[in-house]
Amino acid sequence: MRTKNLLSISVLLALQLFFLGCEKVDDPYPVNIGQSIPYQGTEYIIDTEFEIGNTTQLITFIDNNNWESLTSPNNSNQRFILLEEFTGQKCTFCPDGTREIIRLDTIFKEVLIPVAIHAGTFAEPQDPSSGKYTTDFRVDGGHSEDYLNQFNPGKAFPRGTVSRFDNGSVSGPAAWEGQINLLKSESPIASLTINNHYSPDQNAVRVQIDLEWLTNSTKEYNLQVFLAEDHIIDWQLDNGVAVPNYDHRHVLRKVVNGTWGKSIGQAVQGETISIQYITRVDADWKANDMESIAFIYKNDGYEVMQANAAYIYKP
Amino acid sequence: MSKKWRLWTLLSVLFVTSINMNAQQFDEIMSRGQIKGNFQFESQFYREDTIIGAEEVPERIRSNGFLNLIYSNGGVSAGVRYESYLPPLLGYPEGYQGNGIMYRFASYQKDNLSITVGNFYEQFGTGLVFRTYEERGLGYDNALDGVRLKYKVYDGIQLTALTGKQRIFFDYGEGIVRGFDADINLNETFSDFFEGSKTRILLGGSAVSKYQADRNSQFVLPENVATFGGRASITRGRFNFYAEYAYKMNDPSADNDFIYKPGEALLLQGTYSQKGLGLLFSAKRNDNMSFRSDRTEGEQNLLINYMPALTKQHTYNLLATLYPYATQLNGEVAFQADLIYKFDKGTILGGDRGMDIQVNYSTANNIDTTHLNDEFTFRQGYKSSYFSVGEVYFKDFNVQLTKRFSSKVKGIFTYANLVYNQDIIEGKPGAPTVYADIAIADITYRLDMRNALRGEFQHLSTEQDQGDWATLLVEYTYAPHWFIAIQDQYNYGNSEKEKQTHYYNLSMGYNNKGSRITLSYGRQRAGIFCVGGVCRVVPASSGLYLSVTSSF
Repeated sequence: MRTKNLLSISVLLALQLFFLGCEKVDDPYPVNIGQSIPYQGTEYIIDTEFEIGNTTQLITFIDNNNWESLTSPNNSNQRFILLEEFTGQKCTFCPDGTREIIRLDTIFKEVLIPVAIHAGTFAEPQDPSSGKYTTDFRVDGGHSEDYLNQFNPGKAFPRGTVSRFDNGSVSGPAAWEGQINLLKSESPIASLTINNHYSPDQNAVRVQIDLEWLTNSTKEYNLQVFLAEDHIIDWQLDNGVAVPNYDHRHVLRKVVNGTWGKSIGQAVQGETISIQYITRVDADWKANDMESIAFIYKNDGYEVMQANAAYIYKP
Repeated sequence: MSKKWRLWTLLSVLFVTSINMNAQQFDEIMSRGQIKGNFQFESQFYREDTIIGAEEVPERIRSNGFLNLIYSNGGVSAGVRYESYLPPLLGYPEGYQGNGIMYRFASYQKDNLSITVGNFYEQFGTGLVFRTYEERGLGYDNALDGVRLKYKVYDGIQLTALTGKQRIFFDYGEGIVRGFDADINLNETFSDFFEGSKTRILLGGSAVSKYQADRNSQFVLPENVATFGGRASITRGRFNFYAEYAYKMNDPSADNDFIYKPGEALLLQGTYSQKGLGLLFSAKRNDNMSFRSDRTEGEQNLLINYMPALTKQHTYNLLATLYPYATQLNGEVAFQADLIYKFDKGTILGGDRGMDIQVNYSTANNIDTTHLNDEFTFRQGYKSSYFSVGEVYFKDFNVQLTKRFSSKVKGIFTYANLVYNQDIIEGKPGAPTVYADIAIADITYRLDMRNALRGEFQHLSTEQDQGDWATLLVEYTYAPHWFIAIQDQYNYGNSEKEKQTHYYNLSMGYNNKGSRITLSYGRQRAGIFCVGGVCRVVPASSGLYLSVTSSF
């Protein structure tokens, strides 16, 4: 074959390479990090730090990691009660509140879901040079202060709201048992189940929330999700004594879905809602003492109508 | 581009070719030129006919027409086609509206190089990767408008490169098509090696891609989609074997419900022929091979490639238009066997004048797929196995005998057994599969050298769909110019009494030196018209039809 012809072929092939092109798309869905992703009947809401922006990435993330699963109790026949206690490590009488919660816990068991919100001046950490009360238990994002401002416990800690009853009014430990008894006797308006899937490798938890409305209501409801850590050993002022190895219980660590949660609309009997939050568990937190807490509350008046909690990891 | 501008473009091309010569040279050169062309005009006056479901046509008269003009002189040629649809005949794609020139080209050939600009038709292999063509009866025209280069680089080696946009009615598709093809005739290229060899080997390879911008917010769509193909033809003595394979990259489209699965097609064909005997076996499997220059288009619009139909193209009315097979681009496994044999004179079956027999069997099934349930992830859609087939789409077993009984009498006798999946082929969910037997006798009696009578007796028997049909046609020909025919199709087996309808038709025509005028009056039943597995639905109509064709 003559050189000229070989050259011609080469030129034409080069032209062809110029003409042609093809693209292989491995991921059909646009990446839209931070947006919720619907998949198989569940709405996935994922922390942006995971950089999961579409279904393919979501499924890859789930499939490529090992997940330990734990489930909350069944509350389809029982209204569970959320007790949000405002506390602080420099609050001298707050351990009295904690002791009352421990006592109530033995009575109400799974029905009572306590969470300790460190907020206000009692929760402000001291300078590291002081050697005590240096840990900041206030939750990132300023949510603790938001709740403090909204429910206004004043400075008479310990105080707490029992399922944000009576427009979120706060009361002292002596009132809690009565309020719990009052509220728990009411029929639940929904069943709320938590299935936690925890990945030790990723320090990530997938909080799967399945809700079924058991009644109809024209009220608007929100879903709120917290992470709390139990048994944090640290300094605490307890009735005038600085205790270095105090057992802090049910400390709010993370507000997963914003200060006031996610709107889930009105209650329609029989309808179900399935939402999964994928969020990071801080490496400094003890995963085996972490629990996720989910509750629904009325937009109008804040009353928590159903709640549940589940540990995220039991190795 | 306005129509006037297009005409001026053509004239300019002709002008440029002659600009560097004097008048005498110009006259001399032009005298060597040749103009060819053909013309067709069809028009129908429609009348409402509630019995057959022919609706009132507001325009009353609809017409299609075109004129092809091709000028060639030496290595230069140029042509235009003027088309008119005012408005198109019923059953034609309604996108054809108005008049205009959508086909014009100029080409130039010198030595081994051929260049075409404007509109052109081209085909790589059998078309699995690329085929643009025109089928006027279907209103199908996917011509490219662009540039094509063909270059014979060496004995037996021809390369083709092209780019352009495809025609869609009186517009162009959004996508840009780019293609390349190489044909190698090994016997010519390596003539020394193959000298004296009885084996002839042709090889070919193609690559075609399309570009269409991604404006979809739901999916990430590939803007460039490529298809690759390879083919080989080996002939030795009376045997020929042909194989062609095509692979298409991910091409989410309206056809495949926007899945990202690659497509592929395989065509195998073997033939044997000797005097009085012809055998053909062919097999085809195509999976997700719809390839269009606009991913949102459907029907027959903007198809870049072509899936050959492995079914017999029937001509008799009941066989051809009631249950013809339409190739399924999304997936199909098809087989065909064809035997043609001539019984010689003097044999038991051949008698005094011999007899031809043609036996044909074809099947088409869905590919066997397993759903992947990955709609929200990778959208591969399904996986499929090469070695199993899915539901039956179509089967056709037919036998045709052609026998001349005397110098005056000739008969063609056809029997066919069809299985026809209406649900898939016609897109009628839940419609039962049709099992039909068809028998046809076509007898011609030549009275003398000029006068002949022909009769067609057709019967279709089925328990599904519209039930039994019978057709009778009598045609008188006065050679070489005139014919007159009367036909009645009778749906006497329709389970609904009021639909047991006669579709009568009277037609006459005149032929003379390449021109033909046909006039007919009657009813046309609703049906499907297919050519090569590509089909269009024809609605019921009634009225007067005129056709004029001419070529020069």
